[in-house]
Amino acid sequence: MDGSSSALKGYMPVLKWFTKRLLIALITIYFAVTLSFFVVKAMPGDPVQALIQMFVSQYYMDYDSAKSLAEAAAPFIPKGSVLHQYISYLISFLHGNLGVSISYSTGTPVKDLLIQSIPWTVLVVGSALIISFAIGILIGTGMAYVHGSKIDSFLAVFFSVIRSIPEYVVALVLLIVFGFHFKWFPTRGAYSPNVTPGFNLPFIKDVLKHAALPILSWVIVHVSGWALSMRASTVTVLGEDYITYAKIRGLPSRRILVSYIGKNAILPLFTSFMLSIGFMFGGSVFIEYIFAYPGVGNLLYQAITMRDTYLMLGVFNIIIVAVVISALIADILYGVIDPRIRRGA
Amino acid sequence: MAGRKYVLAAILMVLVVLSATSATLPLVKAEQKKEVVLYTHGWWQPYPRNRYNPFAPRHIGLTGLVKERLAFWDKLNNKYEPWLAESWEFKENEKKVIIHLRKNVYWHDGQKFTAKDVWTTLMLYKLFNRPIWKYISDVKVIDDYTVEYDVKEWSYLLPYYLLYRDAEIVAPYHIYGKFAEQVAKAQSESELNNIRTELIKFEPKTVLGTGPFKFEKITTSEVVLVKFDKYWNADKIHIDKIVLPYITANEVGWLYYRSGQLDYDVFMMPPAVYDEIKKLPFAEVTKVYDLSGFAIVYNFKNPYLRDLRVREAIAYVIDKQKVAQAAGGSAFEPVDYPTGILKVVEDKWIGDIKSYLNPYNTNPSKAEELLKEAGFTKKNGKWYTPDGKVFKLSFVVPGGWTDWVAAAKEITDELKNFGIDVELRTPESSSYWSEDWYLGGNYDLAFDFFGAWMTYPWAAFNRIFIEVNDRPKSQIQGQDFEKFFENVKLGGPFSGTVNAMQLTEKLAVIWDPKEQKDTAQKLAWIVNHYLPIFPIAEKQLMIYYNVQHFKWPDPKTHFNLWQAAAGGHQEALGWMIINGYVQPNPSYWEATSTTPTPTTVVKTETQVKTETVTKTATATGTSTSAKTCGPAVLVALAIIPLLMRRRR
Repeated sequence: MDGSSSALKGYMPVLKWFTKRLLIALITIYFAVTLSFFVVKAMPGDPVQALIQMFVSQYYMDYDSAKSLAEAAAPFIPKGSVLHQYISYLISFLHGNLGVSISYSTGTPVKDLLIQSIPWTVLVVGSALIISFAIGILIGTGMAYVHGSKIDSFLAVFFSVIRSIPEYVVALVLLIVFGFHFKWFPTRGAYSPNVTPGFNLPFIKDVLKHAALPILSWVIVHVSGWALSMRASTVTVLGEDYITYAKIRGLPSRRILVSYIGKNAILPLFTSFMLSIGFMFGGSVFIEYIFAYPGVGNLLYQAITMRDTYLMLGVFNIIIVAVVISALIADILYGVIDPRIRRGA
Repeated sequence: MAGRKYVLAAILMVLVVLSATSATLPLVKAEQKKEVVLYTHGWWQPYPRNRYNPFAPRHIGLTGLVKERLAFWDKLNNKYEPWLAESWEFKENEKKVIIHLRKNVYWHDGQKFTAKDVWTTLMLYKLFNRPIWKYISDVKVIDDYTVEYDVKEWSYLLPYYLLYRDAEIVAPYHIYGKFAEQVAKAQSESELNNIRTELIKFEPKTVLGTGPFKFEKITTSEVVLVKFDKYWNADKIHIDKIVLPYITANEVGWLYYRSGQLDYDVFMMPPAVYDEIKKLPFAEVTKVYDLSGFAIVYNFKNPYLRDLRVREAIAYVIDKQKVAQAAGGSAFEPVDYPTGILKVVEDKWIGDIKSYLNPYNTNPSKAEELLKEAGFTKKNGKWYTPDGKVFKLSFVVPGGWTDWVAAAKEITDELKNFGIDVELRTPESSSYWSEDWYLGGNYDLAFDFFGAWMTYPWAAFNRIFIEVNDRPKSQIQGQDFEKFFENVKLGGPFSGTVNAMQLTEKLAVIWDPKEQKDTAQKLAWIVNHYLPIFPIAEKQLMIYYNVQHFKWPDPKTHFNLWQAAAGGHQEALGWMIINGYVQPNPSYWEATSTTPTPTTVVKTETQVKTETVTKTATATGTSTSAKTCGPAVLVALAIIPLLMRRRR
């Protein structure tokens, strides 16, 4: 009895700390969801008009045909004051109901659309995030190890330039070179019509082929950020006393690089990485648009174009929740991976 | 631990190798080569819900390919040709229209197409307040192949709505009959609302039509249609399959053009791209009129713009040629006579009164003269109003409409150089087309469409004098606008005083060609003389087509078939296919191997030339390149050492 109560006492600060963090996370989600609701509601434009204009300009329809088609969305547009809509949205949100799509897929629950899009986004952006992070920290560490050298200076400039190229430009270049010129990869969509979706090899192969260029575009754009951040972090660590001490002890340089420098230098990037996992759920609007990839980014683009309020809110709120949860996990894991923080807590 | 890493590395390696090796396989096998496939882009991706239901906003339409109308509307000649309807009778005295349907028509699920399907579609169109119901009061099934419409109001526009616009038969009775029956019995608006909501939520199993192609599947990358063997005109269909790749961006569309992976499409092209595509040996581009253009709208709420001399002065400052060039040289043509009448039918309607019309060629001195006459003064290069204020105008155009914004910038610069202070504003387009901006009359100068996608000039004048997007002109251009055009004095070849709004309404109902022409000419003269708007440039549609893969109708002799693409390029394609105008090019489709074969391509249009092209004879959009998946291998090379690293 005594033992268990003292053990419980030992966990109390951790429990208190966790409860506090959880509460902050929930409050953050509440305010962010509220803010996004009012910002989206304040956006000019009406979904029916947006649909009409889209049909006129994109589908080359005459106004009357476009209007009669667009007005089919009218029954699904929420009525009442903004405050009333906010309260009912919030209640629905708490019950896991994100409303229905007004224009993109009229009458379809936003949740269903997200469930359909998220796996594609996780495949592309998730893989690209891991790949770019892995390559970025490797290159960044290497650059820091030779910092001040010609190669370091060259790579620093090179990555700064790459970082400033917009995503859609990289996507278009890759599409031209590998999609249309060499014809190595498909140019659109997530899979071909001649495969049967499911857990079968032809489908998996086809999906991988379709994901290759979107992943590569994301990696090219984001690897430079990770490399430059890792370089900066590593250069700081290199000046620490424990590195000098490890060198004096005669430890192999590979071990110093991986266990002493790499591990400590990667810590500041850990939070960014976790937040990136959260933002991953928002997809990559431009890359998905260029490759007609059916992820969340493409969904968000369609939602904004068509003023599909609840679809927009659905995507924003998924990002909000994912980012806040990622930050919470980062907070918890930080204590696990960095003993100094744990002791401090 | 180390074992797990090896397993991970091995899995990754296998996936990468699979991905790479699969790139070495041709997408279409040799034995499939003879299947004739035509590629034209589509707008649809799953989620399939709401894509199959023809009453949902983002449904898969495919008029002309999958679905058909009662008649085809030849836009150029304003004539109707039998399609699902074999013939029709307009009985003016009895206020009835009788439609005789084609007999050997089947829905794609094998059911016979009958008059009940027309009735079902029309009842559901009633539910959505389609314009046809302004002109008819009822639809009756006389027998399996005869439908009778009770006419409420005779109008020249009646055949347009009845045979073409609201005559796409999309709802078979055996699927949508229950909804149609409910509509027929509904007593109140709330009942209709419930039916509407239920109908939009309804999820049919597939896209259904009676057209030459049957919907096969939709994936994230394309929609696939296959030839319908029981089609009533199947003998003339020479294409086995139509693939509609999902392409969202013009830039990506151009890449498909360049690589020959599209056979027919209408992506907008700036001059440089247009020139490049035209030079491709396998490509041809035919320009047709979009049947619309953009015009400056003067807001009569602004007291200075109520003065005709000021409106004229602005018109004389603007260089229509330069503005059209700025909007996109290859896609816009400046108007010759700003009247609201479209160029493609200009000669037919106003050919004999052109000498009375003002082309408003750029003339800054004339503009100065007019402004001075209106009491304006010019000091230090700036114009001042008669009451001594700087003459300042807001100019509002929808943001994101890059062609319009570029044109508006050019006009702003021209007016500023002339000394009129213009502030250009570009609100987001859905906001622009709302009461916040244009439709609420919150502007001095704005852009609007003219021509309104119809060669019969009623639509154009209706947009100029009566309403835009259901909003009355008094809301858009001010109460004074209507007052001004209630009593306009005619001039030129005409005399007397007319009400322009009433004249426009008359144009909708009269059938006598002479009277139609006289009315249209009067309205054209009013627009040209009094400038309620100032039409600047007409848009052109650039139709790309692959002459290596298919033989197409010659635009010189069959321009009406190409012009039909305005407002529905897939429908125009469908009509060309149905009538046997699109045929596989034997030199391409009958090639027997994948070895390079010289192909002679004859390019039609303005310059007919023969070019010899060396190409690999495989189906469109296929690849036989035996290349490995380079980037995937690179990624693997980078990541595998990371997984396999050993801790010391």
